[in-house]
Amino acid sequence: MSKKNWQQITSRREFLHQCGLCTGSLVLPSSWLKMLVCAEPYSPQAGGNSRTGPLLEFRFFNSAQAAIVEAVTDQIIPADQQPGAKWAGVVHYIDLALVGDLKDFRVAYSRGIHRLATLAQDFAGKAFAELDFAAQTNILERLEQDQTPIALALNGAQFFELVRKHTLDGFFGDPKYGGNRDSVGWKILGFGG
Amino acid sequence: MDAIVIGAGAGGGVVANELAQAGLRVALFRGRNFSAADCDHDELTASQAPWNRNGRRFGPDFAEIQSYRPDPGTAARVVSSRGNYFSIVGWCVGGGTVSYQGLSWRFHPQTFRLKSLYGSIPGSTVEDWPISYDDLEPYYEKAEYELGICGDSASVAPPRRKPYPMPPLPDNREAQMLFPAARRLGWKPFHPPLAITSVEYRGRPACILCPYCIGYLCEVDAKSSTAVTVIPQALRTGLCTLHAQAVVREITVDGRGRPNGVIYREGKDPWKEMRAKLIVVAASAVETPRLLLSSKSKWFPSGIGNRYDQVGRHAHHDLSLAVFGYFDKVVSDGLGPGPSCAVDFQFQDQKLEGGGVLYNGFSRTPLRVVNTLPRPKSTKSWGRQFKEFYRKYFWQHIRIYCGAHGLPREGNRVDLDPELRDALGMPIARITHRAHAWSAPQLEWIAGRAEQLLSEAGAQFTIHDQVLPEPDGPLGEHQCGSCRMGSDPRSSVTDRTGRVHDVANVFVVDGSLMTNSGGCNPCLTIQALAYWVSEQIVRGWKSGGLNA
Repeated sequence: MSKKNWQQITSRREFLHQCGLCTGSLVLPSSWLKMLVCAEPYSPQAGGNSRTGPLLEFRFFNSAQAAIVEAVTDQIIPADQQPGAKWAGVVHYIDLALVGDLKDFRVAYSRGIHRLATLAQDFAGKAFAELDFAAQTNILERLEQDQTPIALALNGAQFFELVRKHTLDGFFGDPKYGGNRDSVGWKILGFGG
Repeated sequence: MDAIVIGAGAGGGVVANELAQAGLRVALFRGRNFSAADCDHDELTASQAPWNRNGRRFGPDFAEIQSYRPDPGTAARVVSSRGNYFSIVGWCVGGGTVSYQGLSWRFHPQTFRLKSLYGSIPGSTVEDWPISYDDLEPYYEKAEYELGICGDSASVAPPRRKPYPMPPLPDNREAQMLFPAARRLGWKPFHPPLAITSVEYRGRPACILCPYCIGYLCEVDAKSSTAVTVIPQALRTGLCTLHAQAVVREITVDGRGRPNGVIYREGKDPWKEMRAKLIVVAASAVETPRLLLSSKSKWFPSGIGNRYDQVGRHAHHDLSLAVFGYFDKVVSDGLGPGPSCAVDFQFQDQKLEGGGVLYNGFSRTPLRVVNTLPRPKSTKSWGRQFKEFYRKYFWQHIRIYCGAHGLPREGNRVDLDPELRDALGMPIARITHRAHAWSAPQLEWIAGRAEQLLSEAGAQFTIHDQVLPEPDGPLGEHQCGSCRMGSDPRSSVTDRTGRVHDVANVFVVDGSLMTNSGGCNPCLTIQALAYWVSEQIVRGWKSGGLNA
């Protein structure tokens, strides 16, 4: 081993630091996100509701289904001082995936959304997307325990787990799949990508 | 052709190169090829990601199926390569070495003679290996130099004659915490050996310490996979041809009962035959027995090498368990590859058969962490608490991997499903497998050491993860033992040179050969065995015995 090689390694490490690959030790300045998301700044006060319409046309969901799924994703990763799944466009990730690699899950989503709508009507007397945040949480806690079969080899609880998993994929996965808008899932973790 | 090598992974790549360098014309089969386009940072398509949605990029295609049952006599269920229970990891040129982490341990001398050490172990079919550590030591050394391994030459065991060809990677922040903590506990920590360049090595640049390592194709060829080392060397001889998209259905036999080639097809072409004087099967501990058992003829009515019904028996793997420590400060610098501090307890405590090894890892990427970092029971799997937990602990946890020996369990086997066939009409592999009960207490013991280490390093709390692969599940990573070497044909498939008993010209070179698991990552041992077997083949070739 020559000393030169070690210096090269050290400088590579510094280079990675400079590229933001290792932002773990940084504290994010509060203005940072806003700077990067200049088109539509995230506002903690408005939560996930700062947007007026969908970012894209939906390919699989109808608008009622999209509203339900969007609300579910935002329960799974809610907005706080940083954006949640709604702002990150996770519903678009799921929608695009359902006409692509995840097309096998179409029936699960159609039936699962229907099941969730039924639970909302039965226990809160309203459409799920119209419930306030705490009431939606209550309904999802019921879905999380729901053993009612809704499709072949799928009950309510399993549907919830499916949406939970897809929400993580859409929020933390590569933005090229339609979610994780502006890499917000990575920025929240301090991960430079 | 002089030789056909089936399987272009850890073992097959090595053998193909050794034979081509010795002047043999070699056809190297199987394993989808990949391109530079497969090198990206996409966690949703990474290999080894149980959360991935598009299939394991360097693993099997989605269309593959196997069947699985825990015990003989129970009904087998179909498992698809789409799910997590498919018993194959690598399925590309380079095999598992493309997407693995590159941990490159030598097995301990005692690992080669567990039966002598512990006597007969109830419920296990364990036997001593027909070769010793001393037999294999020069070939470990050769593998370390030919492939390129970095490591701590000062680490105590196993004994070695030459230092590693490369020094360890620079310490990351985890190492800076774990080394002093381990020393305070009176242990001897060392840098785990990795098949990764720490300095420029034989034309490949040093690792750039990026976090996209395990599960990914290395973007600078710093990972010493066979796809960037021995396979290109073999191809450069002009004597080795790669049939990357080919599927091999069976080994053919001539009119005198001597294997003389294979039936294969390339892409959607019709099935063809290729002749060769010798055949090396290096397709993994599942696919190797599947191919041998599929090669039936009047000379081998139950498959090649299966006269004593041994092909596919004794299949097992080693087990692991991760322990996570949670800190009140950032403990990572975000650099890859990750593993930077190891402690080896194997064979240090004779009461604990085999002991175990622990090391930290791996580099953290978002989906890997949110899918694998366990939460305390009080933290829900969704909602504000969930988000807060990962935001806090993404950089404030250390994962310790604990490994333990698996053992060949009576009843475990890879054979052919009596009914099911795959899309090409070939019989599928049926896995009958459960872990031997011996591993669980070992894992508990080593996990206790991991908790001690994390607490000593300042962890506020620790969480024990589940045992992987699932003890009552199919074969997972590090699968081995299914065509084991031995001196008695009634309890093994090959002799000590890797040659199938009773067959002059068929050799096995992969995890199948290993008589038992090493309690740690097996790749370097597979490669040392590949060099060992290659030397026997070349010797046999030059003396004329194989060149008939």
